[in-house]
Amino acid sequence: MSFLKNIGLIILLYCFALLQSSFLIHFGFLKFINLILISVFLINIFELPTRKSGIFLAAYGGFLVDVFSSRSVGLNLVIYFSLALIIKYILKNHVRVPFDKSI
Amino acid sequence: MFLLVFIGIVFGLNHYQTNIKSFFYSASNFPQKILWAVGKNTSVFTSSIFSSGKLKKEKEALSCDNQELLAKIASLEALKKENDELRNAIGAGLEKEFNLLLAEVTGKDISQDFITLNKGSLDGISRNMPVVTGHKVLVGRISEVFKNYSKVMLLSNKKSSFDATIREKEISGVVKGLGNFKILFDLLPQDKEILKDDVVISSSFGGIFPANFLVGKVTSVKKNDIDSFQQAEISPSFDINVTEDVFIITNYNI
Repeated sequence: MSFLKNIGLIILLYCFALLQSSFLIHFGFLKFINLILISVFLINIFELPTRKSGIFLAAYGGFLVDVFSSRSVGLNLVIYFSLALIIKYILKNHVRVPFDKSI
Repeated sequence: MFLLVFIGIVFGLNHYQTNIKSFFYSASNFPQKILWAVGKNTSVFTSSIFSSGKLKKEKEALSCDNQELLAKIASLEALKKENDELRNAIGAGLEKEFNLLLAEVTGKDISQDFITLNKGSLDGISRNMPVVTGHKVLVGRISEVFKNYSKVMLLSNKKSSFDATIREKEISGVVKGLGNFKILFDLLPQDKEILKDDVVISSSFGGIFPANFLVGKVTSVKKNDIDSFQQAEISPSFDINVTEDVFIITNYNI
């Protein structure tokens, strides 16, 4: 199930990259919205801090941003990867979510 | 250990980036083409809804411009006839002067002033070839070439800089990209008078672009007694949201 979810997210991020480079670019303020960055944020925030798939999806998202931009491949990959690591670190060590077990 | 492997992967990707990008552009060509066309049509539709108030004012301004242009056309007709005769006499038609290759715009860089074209090294494209529209408007030049695709650095890119002129006033200067589709006409002599709506065309002086291609119109002039030169902001003539097809000049290279 988790494997299928990750494959789905990989396809979704690729679709977002295509949307950003060919579709959203035509619309005023929408062209400044980075769907991949938002997705990477949300994936890593809502994933359990102990799981690692969000980090690899972040690296993949950064890779896609690099491929569809004119910059060298690797720059955004490192940035997104580091961002995911930071989110995981903060969630693991500094955030406590109160779970109500009766729900 | 993990960090070393990661750094190795990043360097590896960077080394093979031309092949990787080429693969992704080839694989994404079809969906990108569709998304580009849909996005363009949708944006035209939505902008027409939101700007209906502006349209009335624009219509009035355009009808004034139209009258003015009709008068100009009448005088230009006579000049065109004379020009055609001279052109025939010396046998120097524009189509004979340049080899043009038609290319489709398939994408635009998210953060910088670049566009992607569907022609690459297999079609004979090489770096620094000028890119123009069918209306003799300068768009930019080829900055990166892949097998089937190439990237065009627009005139408004921050790294773009070339010689240009205001023909009627014989004023020459350097056009620099400011990013985000803005262009600056710099190093203009202080003693010359530059006005709004002056037409800026390319000059072959620097050898980057061929001469007499339309760059844009002056929108504002920055003149200061302390500075050695004056500057003018230009509104570029190309509109990347409207432009679908462009021409690559294949026999003009630095």
